Amino acid sequence: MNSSMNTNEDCSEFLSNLAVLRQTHVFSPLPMEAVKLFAYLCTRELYKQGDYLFKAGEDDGCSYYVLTGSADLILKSDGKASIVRNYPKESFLGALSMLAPMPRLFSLRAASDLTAMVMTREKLTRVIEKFPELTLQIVKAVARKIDLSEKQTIEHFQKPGGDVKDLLGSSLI
Amino acid sequence: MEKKEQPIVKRSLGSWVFEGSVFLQILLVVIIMVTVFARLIPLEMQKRIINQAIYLKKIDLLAVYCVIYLSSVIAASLLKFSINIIQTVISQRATAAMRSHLFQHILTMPLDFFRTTQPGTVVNSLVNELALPGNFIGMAVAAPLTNILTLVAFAAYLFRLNPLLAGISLTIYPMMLVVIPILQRRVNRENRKRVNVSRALSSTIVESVSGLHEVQANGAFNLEYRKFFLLVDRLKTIRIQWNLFKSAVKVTNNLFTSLGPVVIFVLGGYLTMRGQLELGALVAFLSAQEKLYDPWKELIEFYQVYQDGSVAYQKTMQFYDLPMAHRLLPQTRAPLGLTPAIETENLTLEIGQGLKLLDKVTLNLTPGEHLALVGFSGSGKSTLALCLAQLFDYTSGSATIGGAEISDLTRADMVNTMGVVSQHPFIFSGTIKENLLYAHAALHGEEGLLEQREEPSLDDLISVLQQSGIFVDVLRFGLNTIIHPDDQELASTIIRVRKHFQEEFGDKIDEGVEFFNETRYLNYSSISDNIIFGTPMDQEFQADNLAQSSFFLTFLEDAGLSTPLLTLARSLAEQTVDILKIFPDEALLFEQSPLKPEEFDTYSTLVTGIREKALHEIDPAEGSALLELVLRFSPGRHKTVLMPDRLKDLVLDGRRMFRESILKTRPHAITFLQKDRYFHTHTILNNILFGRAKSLSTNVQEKINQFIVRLLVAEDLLERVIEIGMAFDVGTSGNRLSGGQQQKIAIARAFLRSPSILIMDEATSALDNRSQQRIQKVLARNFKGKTTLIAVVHRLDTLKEYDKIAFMKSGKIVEIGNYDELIKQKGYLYELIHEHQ
Repeated sequence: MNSSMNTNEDCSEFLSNLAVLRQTHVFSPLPMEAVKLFAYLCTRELYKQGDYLFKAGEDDGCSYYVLTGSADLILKSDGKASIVRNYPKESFLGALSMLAPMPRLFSLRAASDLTAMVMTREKLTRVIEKFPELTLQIVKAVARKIDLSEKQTIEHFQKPGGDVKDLLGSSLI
Repeated sequence: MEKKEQPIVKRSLGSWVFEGSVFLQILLVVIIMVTVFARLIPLEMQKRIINQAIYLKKIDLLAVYCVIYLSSVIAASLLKFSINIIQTVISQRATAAMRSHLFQHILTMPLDFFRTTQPGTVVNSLVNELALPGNFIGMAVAAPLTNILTLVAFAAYLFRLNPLLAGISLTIYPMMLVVIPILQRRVNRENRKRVNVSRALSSTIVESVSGLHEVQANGAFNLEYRKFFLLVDRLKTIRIQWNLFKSAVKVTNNLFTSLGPVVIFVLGGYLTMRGQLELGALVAFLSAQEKLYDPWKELIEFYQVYQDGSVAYQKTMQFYDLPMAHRLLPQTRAPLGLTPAIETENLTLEIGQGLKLLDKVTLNLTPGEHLALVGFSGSGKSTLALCLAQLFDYTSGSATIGGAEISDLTRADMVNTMGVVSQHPFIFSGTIKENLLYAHAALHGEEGLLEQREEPSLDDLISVLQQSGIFVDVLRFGLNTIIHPDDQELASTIIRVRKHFQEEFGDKIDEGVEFFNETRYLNYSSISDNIIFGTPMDQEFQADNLAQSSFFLTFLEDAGLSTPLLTLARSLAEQTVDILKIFPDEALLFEQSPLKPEEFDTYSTLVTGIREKALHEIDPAEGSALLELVLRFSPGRHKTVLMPDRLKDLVLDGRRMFRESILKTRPHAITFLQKDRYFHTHTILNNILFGRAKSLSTNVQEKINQFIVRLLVAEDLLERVIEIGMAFDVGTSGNRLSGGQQQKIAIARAFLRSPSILIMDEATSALDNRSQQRIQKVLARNFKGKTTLIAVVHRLDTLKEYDKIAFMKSGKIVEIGNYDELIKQKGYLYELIHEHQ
């Protein structure tokens, strides 16, 4: 991804948001007019190292694009928290939680100071209510992503000695 | 409505003619009589002028007759005018009465009806379709009466002049009655053809244009052209024929009416020459004959209005002709306060073709018991809840509340006993407080169904705000309000809070807040705030008037800010309009732009107007609108354009220049920002922070709120701020609230009534975990044993709190019991829970 991702002197936040969204699997197939609207509606939030973007059990209803820094995905099982994986800069996660209420199964914690572009279910819903035809396109995009993720799972499964932990996180598509 | 009145949908169109307008209609008849008489006078005068005045050369008679002629013409015109006014009043009254009666009827129609009926259809019925019958009502008495009377009067007058001549010239009209309808039928036929072919043509155009890439890729230009040409050619032929017949009707009509004078000339001329008819009479005859045409034409028009009106009326009324589901108020008794025990036996709801939404549901709830309905979507759990709320009607079996059959109860009995929170609650335009009091106003308000009662107290309201979890939101709305400048007491208390805030928390939240600082550009404040940096005391410097202030404009010019601001404004307007153009009516989405929803059209037109213009060509009005917009711009909040750093520096220089020049020339126009002064153009929150929150995200706001609430409590200000927050205007259908906030308000609204039965249909589906748990706790603690609760539950983790759980499948209760029993049974619920884990 190019350097225009970050706020710089010659480009408004809206335009750099637009550039980002046009490269995410959920938003890129949508008509330009709609992507513009979403780019306008996205906000940028700052998280200090150790801040939680969301916690397990919460229904934050947001999708995140990591602009700077990185975040750890944390799974708590039997009272023990373990890091499943690290989402580096330029990761996009949370498309599903924008579509329907679902309490998080994992927690996401800023591994370093982090800036994220955040889109909420609320805003997405408002737009979709007016343009129901977007729903199908978003669902198709998500379906493709699920398919892709399953293919990766199969590949991983066929490799000898793969860690089952690497397969986790499909709810964060 | 409880009177023994025929339902509006059964009423005939004719029954509206005298509705509320008896006096006017009678007055109309009287005026018409006079008018018709007044119309006859000129004819008689014509005859006398020629026969008596001119023929006998008597000037005085000529003068008298002319004056009478003139006055009767003026009188007839004035009378005609008053007829029109009365007709309009009658017509509008009837339309208004039909609209309000129908609306009243529609409000009571079964919910089921609206599942298949679009709101647009109802709007169209009420707004457009009833206008046509209304027109007819206005004309119903006046038009036939005036025109038939006129026809009869003129005809009688003609017969009096000469029966033979009159008889022959009037034979034309029956002939027209035969010929014109034949032609009109052809017109209608061609018109129908025209509509069909036009539709086909439109769809061909749509197809060609939307598939243009395919057309061009295949080089199928001729193919598409041919399809189009065939239709266009047919349309051409049809339109020619249509116009031909239309003209034929007109021409025939004219021809027949022009035949009248010919007959009169031939026969009348002959009779006059023979001395059997006076010359004056012949002239009068000619005029009268000509004047027959107008009433004739108007009668035919009236017939058309009647046809259109009655078709529209019947179609509309038939569409809504469904019986009212339940009586609103009981006729012979007071509304019941029912014991909240619910029993159903073999409750069934069948919707045709043997499809059962509910299938023999048998259930028993004692007062104060809490029941959770669980099952997959479509299992009938919402349907059951809504049947018990009388919002759906069951088709067989029985359902009782306190022993009374639900289908026999009136709406008043139901609402008196029951509160319902639906999954998609509706929030009406108005304030939060009005929405909370909606149920109270419906029952016990000024126009309520039942006796009037006092409004719930502020304490009651605050307690339900807390229970439903909307308290924090209302607090935020309150804190984000700009208080009235006269409220000095509040202002000084807030300044005290500000001091405490800075002493105690100032350094803890500096990252989330941009404090007001005289030497820095404030990214989260508007450009005008950055320049003025204080509270304007003079109207001229109020944010909305700045763009018109000549002092300010001169200052901008001197500070070198005019051109850069206009440049920024232009791209800001263009960009914002471009983004929001597909969404110009959604208030929530305008929050991230300096544009207000109501201004969208203005700026949209403006952007189109200046597109081709260079900066110096923009006219003063456009420039002023652009300036107004850019002065509201704050780079930290509005992200569509980038504000260059050098412009920020320029504005910062401008701030100093502006202060110097104001202090020199108008020292009292502005109170500059100081730590011990209230900043009246800013919200309560900004005043407490002496700055602005950088993010509107709930995380940041919650952090700030935590600190502030304690201080507000200490100053005894919390309730006041909540009260201010409850005055927040929620926008049309609550569109300034999030889905979660809407649900919380609906829950608070139901809690406020503390009904003895509460039905919650997935009422917390849009809420976060914490809010759901809070509400669950309130239900378990405050409502158990008092309020019978039926909750359609979508979250399984709350189930343990319920006395009974009913698992539904295909409209049946397949298992029922408390949590432990059902888990032990290892049936459906057990499976569902384990599937989830």
